[in-house]
Amino acid sequence: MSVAAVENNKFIVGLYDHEEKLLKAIKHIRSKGIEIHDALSPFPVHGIDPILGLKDTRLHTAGFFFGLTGTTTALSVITFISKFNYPIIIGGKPFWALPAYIPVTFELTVLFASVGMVTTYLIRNKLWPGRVPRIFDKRTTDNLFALTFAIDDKSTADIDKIKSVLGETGALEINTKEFKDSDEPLN
Amino acid sequence: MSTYESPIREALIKGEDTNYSKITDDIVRNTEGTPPMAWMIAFALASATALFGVFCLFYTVWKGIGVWGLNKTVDWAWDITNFVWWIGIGHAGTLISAVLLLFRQKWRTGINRAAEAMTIFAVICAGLFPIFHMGRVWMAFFIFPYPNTRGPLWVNFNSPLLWDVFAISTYFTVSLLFWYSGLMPDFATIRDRAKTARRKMIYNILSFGWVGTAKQWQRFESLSLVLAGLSTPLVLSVHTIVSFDFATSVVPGWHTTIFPPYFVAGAIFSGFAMVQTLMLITRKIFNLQNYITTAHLESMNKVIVLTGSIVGVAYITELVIAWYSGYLYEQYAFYNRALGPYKWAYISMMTCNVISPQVFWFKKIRRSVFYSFLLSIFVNIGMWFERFVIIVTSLHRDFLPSSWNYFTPTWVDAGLYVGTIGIFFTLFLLFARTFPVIAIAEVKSIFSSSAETAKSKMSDPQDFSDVHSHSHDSGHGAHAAVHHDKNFNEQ
Amino acid sequence: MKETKYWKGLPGTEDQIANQTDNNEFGEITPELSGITESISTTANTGRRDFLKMLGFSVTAATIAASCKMPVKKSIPYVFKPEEIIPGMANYYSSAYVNGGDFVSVLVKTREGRPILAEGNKMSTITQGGMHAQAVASVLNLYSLGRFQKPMIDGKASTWKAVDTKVSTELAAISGAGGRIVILTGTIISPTTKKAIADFKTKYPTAEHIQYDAISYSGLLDANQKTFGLRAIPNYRFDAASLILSFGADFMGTWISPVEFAADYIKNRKVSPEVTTMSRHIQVESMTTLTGSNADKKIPVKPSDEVNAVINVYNAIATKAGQATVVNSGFSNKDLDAVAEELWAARGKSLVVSGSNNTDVQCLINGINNMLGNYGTTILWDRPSYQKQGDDKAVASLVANMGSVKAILMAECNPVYSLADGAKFGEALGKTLSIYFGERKNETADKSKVVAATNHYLENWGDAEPKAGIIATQQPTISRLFDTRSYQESLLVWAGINTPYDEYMRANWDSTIMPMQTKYNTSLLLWDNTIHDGEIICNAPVLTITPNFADMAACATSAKNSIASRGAIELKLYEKVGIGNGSNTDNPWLLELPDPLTKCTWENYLVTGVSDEKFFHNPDHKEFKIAQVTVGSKSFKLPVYCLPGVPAGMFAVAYGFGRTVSANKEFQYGVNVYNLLKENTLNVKVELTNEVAPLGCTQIHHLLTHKGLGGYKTRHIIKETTLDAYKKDQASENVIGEHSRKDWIKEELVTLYPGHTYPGHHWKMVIDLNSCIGCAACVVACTAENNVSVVGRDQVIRAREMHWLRIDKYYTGDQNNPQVTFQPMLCQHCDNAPCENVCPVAATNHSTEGINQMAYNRCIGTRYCANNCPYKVRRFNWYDYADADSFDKKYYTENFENIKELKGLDTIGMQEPLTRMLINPDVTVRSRGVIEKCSMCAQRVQAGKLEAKRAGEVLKDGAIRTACQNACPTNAIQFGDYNNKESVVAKLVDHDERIFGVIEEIHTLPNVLYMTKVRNKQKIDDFSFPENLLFS
Repeated sequence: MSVAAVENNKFIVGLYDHEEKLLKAIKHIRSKGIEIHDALSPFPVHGIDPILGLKDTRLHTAGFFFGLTGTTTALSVITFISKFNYPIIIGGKPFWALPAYIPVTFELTVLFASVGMVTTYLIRNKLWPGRVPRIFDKRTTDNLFALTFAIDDKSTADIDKIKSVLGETGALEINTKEFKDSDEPLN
Repeated sequence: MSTYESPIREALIKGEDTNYSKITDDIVRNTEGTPPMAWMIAFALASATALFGVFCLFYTVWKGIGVWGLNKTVDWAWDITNFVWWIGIGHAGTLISAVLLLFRQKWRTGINRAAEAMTIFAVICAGLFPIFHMGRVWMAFFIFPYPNTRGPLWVNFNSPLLWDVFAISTYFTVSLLFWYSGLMPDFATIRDRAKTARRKMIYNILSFGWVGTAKQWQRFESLSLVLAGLSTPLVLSVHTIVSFDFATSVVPGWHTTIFPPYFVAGAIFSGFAMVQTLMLITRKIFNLQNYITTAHLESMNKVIVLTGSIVGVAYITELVIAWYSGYLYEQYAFYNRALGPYKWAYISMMTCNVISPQVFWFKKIRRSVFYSFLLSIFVNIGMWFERFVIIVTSLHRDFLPSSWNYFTPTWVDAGLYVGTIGIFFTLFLLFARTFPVIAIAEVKSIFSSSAETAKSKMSDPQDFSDVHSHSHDSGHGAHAAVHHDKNFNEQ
Repeated sequence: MKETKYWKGLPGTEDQIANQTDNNEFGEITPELSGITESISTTANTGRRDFLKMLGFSVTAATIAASCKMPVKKSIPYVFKPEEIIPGMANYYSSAYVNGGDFVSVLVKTREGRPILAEGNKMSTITQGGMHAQAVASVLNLYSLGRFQKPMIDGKASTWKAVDTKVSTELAAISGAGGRIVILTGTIISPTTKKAIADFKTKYPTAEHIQYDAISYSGLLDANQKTFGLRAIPNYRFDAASLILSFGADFMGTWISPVEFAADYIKNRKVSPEVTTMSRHIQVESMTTLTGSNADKKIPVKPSDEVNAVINVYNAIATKAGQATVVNSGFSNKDLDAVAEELWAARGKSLVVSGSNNTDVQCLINGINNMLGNYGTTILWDRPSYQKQGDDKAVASLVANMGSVKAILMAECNPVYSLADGAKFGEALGKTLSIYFGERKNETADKSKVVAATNHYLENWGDAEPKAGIIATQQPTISRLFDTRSYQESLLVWAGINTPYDEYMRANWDSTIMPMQTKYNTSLLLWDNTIHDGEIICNAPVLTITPNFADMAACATSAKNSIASRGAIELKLYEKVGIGNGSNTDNPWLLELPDPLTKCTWENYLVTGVSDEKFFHNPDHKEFKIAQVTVGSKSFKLPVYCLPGVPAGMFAVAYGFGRTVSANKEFQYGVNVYNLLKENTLNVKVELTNEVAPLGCTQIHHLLTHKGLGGYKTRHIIKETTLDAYKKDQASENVIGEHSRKDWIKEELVTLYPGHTYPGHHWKMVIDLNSCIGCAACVVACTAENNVSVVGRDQVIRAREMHWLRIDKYYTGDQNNPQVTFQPMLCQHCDNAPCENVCPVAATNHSTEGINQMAYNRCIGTRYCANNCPYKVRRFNWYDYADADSFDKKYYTENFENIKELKGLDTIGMQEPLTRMLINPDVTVRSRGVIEKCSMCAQRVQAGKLEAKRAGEVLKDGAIRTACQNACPTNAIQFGDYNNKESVVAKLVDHDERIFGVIEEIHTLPNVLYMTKVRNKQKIDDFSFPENLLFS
């Protein structure tokens, strides 16, 4: 899928009632060389990514590095505190007693990794409280699966072609959706 | 994983006429309209108890810890008992959502949402005790390593209590994130079927503006997988660290290397029992029998009987090791635990934790709603006693007989405990009313494979036979299924 | 504007804004308006502008000061600072604690003019620097809320003028009419007081002086009168005796002069590689006493059999000595025969004493000592003791004829409380001119018409002659807190002598004491040095002793008759260590002090043996069965406490409780048993009721041997051996597991961590279990030094007492006659302290000198350290005991059913401004919700180091002494720097084979170490496991 550089406002929305139909449709449409803007579903449809040609996400890699930051932060701070800044005799243990520091280090690793990942996730998915999304069809969070096609700069011929192809894939409905501007209120 | 599933395997989503929109409807309905009478009554009771608990907290802070039954020898009793008990309960939520996710256990989808909610609320209750058992709670901020103007003055990283601070706070944060990231799509579902603009607005804010594009779902899956991967060792570490509060001490009966695994097993045990209790209540009040099926109960009970037995083995091991150690303080500690003045507590623990769950070896009882509920209560009681036994019987008679003593609780001790239960149920009932108690998206994702209707469909041929070519005969189908799985796992 | 001092408000009442850096900010120069204005005028060349600025500022400042709400400060700086007082530095004054005949020479520590602690006076030849609980606690009486603040007439506050006119006129009238005037006092050991009384008698010839001891020693005195023609107590030399036989005399706890005797006694009980001999001590007694608990051999007998035992021993010795035997007691006990053998073997070096108040018994005792030839060796007449002079007959006749008494003056006694028929006596007081010289509220003062409020001894001049020719002095350590006057002075005033008492005393010394001594040749030297030392030794008096042991047979017969009326169950009235005769039962420190034997606090109870299980209590719930006791016409109810070692068929109950008039209801628990003195206590009835009551016991009975998963095993918390074994092997019994301690350290004491070195000082304490007699003086001293809170009966019942130092008591042997071992238990200052590891905020950590230290203001009160302390010595402030800070200013305490507020406890805790004067400024007062514990007197350690630094010399061993160490009458406690290899502690730790630490096997490396107890007996009694609840 290609993220449109210019903000598209006019779309064709094809709706399906089963994920299997959706998958089949995507294959068919792409084989016809029609560019799909996006696919919407009420739950993660497995196997859709390769068919849509989505690249694998790098979120987990980010998570790893966040975790690494946590580990180093923990160890360095604890070492600074108990070895250099505030060395006091505790139960006859050495000032720097590594075994005792493992739990805290581990916890901070996990904390950094998860908080970091979730933040990245929200940013990359453009999710934040009060964000007003574009809803192509309300039923896509209930029981329908949608394929959207940006048609602002498409000729009527292309549009008809898209509609006919959608027809072939047995879409339940084929609607045209136009957004007045990028952030219209929820309807 | 909407892959093929053998028709022999019992359906996880009951009901002849279920489909995606019915699932949505069944689950979201509970957040709409006026709540059922049962809910009203439950909520009234819970919040009243919660208020009493809050009063007891206030009373303790106002007068001093002296209002509890503690004395110079037994400096921890109900406070830390409740803390460990609640934390243990909390763990089940994480385990169900994280571990079962990693093990690709589909049956978790029916209960993980509520289980995770339970985790959050249990951890909140648990957190109250370490905070309010402090003699000077108004100085509680001392436990954080923050740069300060008191010259170099830092916390003690050798102290298990400090590890707790980090463990519990991390655990709470991660569970919250995990839970909420799962909630967003479902909030979107509620939003999109909302009637009033206000409701639309609120649920849109809650959903962070989710729409459910392919990329969002992709990242969603990746996130849940990694968070699950993180939560699993986390939950183990948390209860291990809790057990370190005792294991790293010198008190005979506390100073035991078996504690970490034994505590974790205990945590799963009590946690699953609590989930059982809650789910049975929820499915009754909101009649979700189609999604929380006897199959779910059975799987839960299997885990309960397993962990229960593990805990039982741990109890025996402790005694044997104590005897084998030849160390008189250890030997006395465990003798005293089983036959000393607190033997009544030990007996209650043994009956509730070790003996009672054994009846789950019988399928009939495993699948019986009544027995599941009864025994889940037993286990909760038993696990409370386990912590009490460990903490109090070890403390009240340790090294020097000159300072041996006996602990008797006061009404404040009891009030605090009951109070937290009140707080817990208040929160849970609020959750059940306003949030989707079952993970809608996840249930849908297993619908086509594990729903009764889907299963029946599978037997008749379908138009896109190239995807589901197997459905004619199961042998070949099985093969195709494997093939199918492989493809999806690669992606 | 340079070098200007600012002030606000009125000088002296608020602090000066010390913006200058000279030593003024240390408050040594007190703010005085004159000083300030002067400094302005001198240091500032005041031009007109400066003047205006100054004027402007001062006006503004004054306005602000006047408009702000200023906190009321209760301290007022000196206007003229006494030159010996340096704020922050303690001053010490010698004085003497005298309570009736009870005498302890003390050194009083004062801070900023406030006496805050009484310690032993090392220069005293009598008490030799030792203390007992009551002497230490006496400082608290100074600030007691029970004190009379004015003289009173008919219960109404009055003035001295009014009192003097009333009394002298009435007295004059009475003596004029030849009416009988009685001066009833406790034993008076002060020569000058005696002189004052004499002067009073010359003014009022009809006056007579009667002395009276609440706990009477008449029997002993009369016996000596009879056998030696001298009504006095001889000079017992426990240090000279190689065999001590005591018939129920608690000579280290309560008998005559316990501190002195304890110090002497322990002298040849201490063993070391050099000295391997020790005296042998046998105790024949009914109620277990502190002394009996320390005996090598204890023979428990019923109270009546104490008499028989004396007769038996007398006969046995008489036969050996070839003298006439006396009547046969009909009592047989083969242990006693063995005792007689030992006595005879040790004749000339033995010492026999009896606690009986029966003249005949005491005569027999004298007879025994005489036959053994102990007079002149262990019992001397060179310096008889004057510490008991009471005369029962005189008192009895007085009480009988109160009607004839026109005026009665009472001092140093509380007859209404402590007389057998005190109530009757009290009524009589209402009918005559009754004048009570009293310091604190009590029953007699309550009944008297005139209360002449007297000084506390720390506000007083005085002298004392506890032993012939050895005279101690008292001097004021603080000016009078209230409008009080020493009773000697009152007597003088009423006798028409108007010299102040100190001058009178000085004059008396010049005239009488001066010639008695040869040490100083001018009276000035005599006075100054004696006041400094606290004691002067004069020439021994010349006494005529006429021994006469003629009618021993008669004594024996009447002694035997005295117990003829005995029944199946006998009752013994005894004195509690710490409470004694009850004169201090309004002292919270003493009330909360656990009794060395029963470990109970705040009240008295019925003590019996462990032979009858029906009296046992539940050791965990502390519920004690209440019994109804009927003694002749009287009867009372008390909870029963089962004490191992008390023989069957007897009960015992302590004097001193059941006070009805004192500062606080909390001080009035228990039952007053003085009224039983006239009843036949040898035949009583005891029935269990079905009620139970809690007792504030700080230590419940438990064995050191327990059934565990591995069967019965013994905890070697205390180690004891026999003298013979010690002679053979000095490390005898000093074992850990299978190893001797030495090998164990070599083989087993391995560690993962390198551990820390303590380069500077490394403080260690060594406690010799062989010297510790468990008298608990150290416990009170610790309480006083470290501002340890008193928590009250209810809290003690709930096991929340705060003592930093407790004395653990363990038994070995037969439960009906066990061996007792006392073990002072305090923070062990472990170098590997478990408590330190677990504190999340590092509020408790280790000093570089090996002291485990607490930062109270860092503590958040998780109590984890207390849980993880293997010695359970950490104490938590459950409530705001010290009124340090809290939301809720009231001190609450609760029962499980109901919440009850004990307002009264405000006055026993450190919550009243008056009581707070006692707080040691060097020690933080702990707030609610923090843990506290022994600091090894960190403040003293610091002070000692600073002192050495100031003097520019190396810190000497012994320069720093902890409070407990200073109070100990037997020097059981040693404290010092282990790095100074010459120090006593270092020598002991490195070379003495008896050294051990408690539960060392858990590798806590304690810095407090103990030394094996050595018993002078054949073998340590075998342990016999009693299968009953009491020891569960």
